Amino acid sequence: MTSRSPIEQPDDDEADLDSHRQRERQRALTLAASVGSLMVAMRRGGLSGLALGAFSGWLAYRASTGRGLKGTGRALVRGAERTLTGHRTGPLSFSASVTIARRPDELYAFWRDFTRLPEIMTSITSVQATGEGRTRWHARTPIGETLEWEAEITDDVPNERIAWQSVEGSQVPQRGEIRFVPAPADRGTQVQLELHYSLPHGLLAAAPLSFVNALSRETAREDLRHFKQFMEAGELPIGAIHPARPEGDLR
Amino acid sequence: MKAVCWHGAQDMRVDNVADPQIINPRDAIIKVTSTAICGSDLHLYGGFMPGMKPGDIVGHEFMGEVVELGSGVTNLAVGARVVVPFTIACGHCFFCDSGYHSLCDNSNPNAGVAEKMWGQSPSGLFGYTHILGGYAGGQAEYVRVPYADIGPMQVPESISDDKALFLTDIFPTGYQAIAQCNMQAGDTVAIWGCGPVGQFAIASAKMLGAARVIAIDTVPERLEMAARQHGAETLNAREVGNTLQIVEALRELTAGRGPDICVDAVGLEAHGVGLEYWYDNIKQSLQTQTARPIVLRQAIMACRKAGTVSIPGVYGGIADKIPVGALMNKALTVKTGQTHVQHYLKPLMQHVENGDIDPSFVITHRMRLDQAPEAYRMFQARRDNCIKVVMQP
Repeated sequence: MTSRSPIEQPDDDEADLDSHRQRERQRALTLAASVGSLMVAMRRGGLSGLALGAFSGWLAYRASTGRGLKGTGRALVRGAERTLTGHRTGPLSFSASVTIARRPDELYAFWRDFTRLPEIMTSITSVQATGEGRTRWHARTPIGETLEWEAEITDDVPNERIAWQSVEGSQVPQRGEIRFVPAPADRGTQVQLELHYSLPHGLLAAAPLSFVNALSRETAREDLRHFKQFMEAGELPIGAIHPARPEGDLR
Repeated sequence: MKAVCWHGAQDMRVDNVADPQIINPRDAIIKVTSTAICGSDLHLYGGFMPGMKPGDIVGHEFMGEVVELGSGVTNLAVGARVVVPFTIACGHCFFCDSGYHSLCDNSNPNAGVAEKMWGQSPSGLFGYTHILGGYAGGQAEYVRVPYADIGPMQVPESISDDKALFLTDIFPTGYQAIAQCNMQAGDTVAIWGCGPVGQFAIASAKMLGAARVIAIDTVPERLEMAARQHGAETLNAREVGNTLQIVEALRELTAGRGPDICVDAVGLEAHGVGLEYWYDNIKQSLQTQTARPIVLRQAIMACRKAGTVSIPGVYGGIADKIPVGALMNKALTVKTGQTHVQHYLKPLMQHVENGDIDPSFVITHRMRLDQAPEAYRMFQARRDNCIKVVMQP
């Protein structure tokens, strides 16, 4: 048995108590700093007062979580990055899953081909097989830039799982894995997709921002939904075809 | 072609728009011969449903002639005369396989939006918000019908448009409202709302063997139709009074038991009297709730212990002050959902063919498609005893 029994007592009661005392000390100090900076902020007023007030609020929050100032700098940098890019940079990982009313072998065969993925993946425009388990991927970002990279299969268990990753020096360092698990009572197959993009940390080194912004759990979910629609219904639904322009009102 | 387009609350126009085209292999193009305005179209007209865009073609009750087929449709021929279910369903997912076509997994291209609102997405619908796919509707000269190999059903020559048209929505919707309630011998069914869906629910309750049907509405002509067409007992809610008085009246009418099955065929724009109505009206106009769930409250309060509340009436978002205590302590069952039209189409067509029912009884007005704006105004105001408008392009 690997999981810890819920009634098991921790052996290190003393150590726990010590770290608890330390946390409480830290909490008190942070709270004091928060109150102090708030008082200064109120006396100062103006823009700098406002900024200091905000800092005081942050300290109060950190005090409430008992984490003190540790990690504040990193949080500020990440916050700025998030504001600027609308997204996280650095390593991105997404997973999504869907149940498809088809057998694992049918789904595996579609995915193993790789070249058919553009039919279901929103941002991928083409995938070509280049031999020896390698594939060349082309993507289009939402603002029309094109990206390409080469990937190789790193694991392949027929009808169960496929894993791949981009080769050294790719513009978009990426790896992914898809698993096909039979659903209970013949309800088809549970498909689990994991995608990792190891974009270098920091703004300037990142791949085109619009591409980064297009990477999300939602996109992964949408792509899996397309996979399901294609495998079950044979086509993707298209609804909102707006009449190009009304040719003029009749009344 | 000409099409009825939504341009905002209280603003339907007949626009000249591009003809639809085959997009997917399983598509068909239908030349519409008859189309009707549904009570649920009034929710769009009133501006109560989110997810509409100006220029959207509305209409989900239509039938016509196949004029073009995609390469994947082999069981229909050009020239076939068909009725088209308002629920768009792929026919191959878990839900379609189980007969829950209005819950099709694959037909809503905007499923992600619906998931954010409701947790999971139901099927796409014709002409009924972008949350449900943004499909162009059938109040038009032509319409594109997806998954045409499993949706449209051929109409026998002997059955006129008037008799077949309501198989698209309101007949199966009224029928499902009763069929899903596991009705037992001797059961009394109370039906709120004697609009078209209510009328078909009343007819279906009689057809399926209800001992008594009590019809509730505020419009005398509609109650009169329920009594005349189906022999229902009637209750004018406006005369009876508020929620407590209606619950009491139903308790008296059923010798203390309460109706075994209570059907809310009204939905989100219910009317009522007094404080309760104004409370809901104000909350709805402030957009702190999307429905006036007056009828739903009455149905839950009136229902017999261990009875069933069935909701064919349309709701979109959230509602306030639902008597959840009554729901729980009386051990009620709730059955609801958009209609699994594909599932009921065949047996109900058989009923029409056998002459068990003539669905054309609900038609009160016939107009040209050009006159749609006037038809919407009239239907909304229930002017001229308007219950059902059928339009010919």
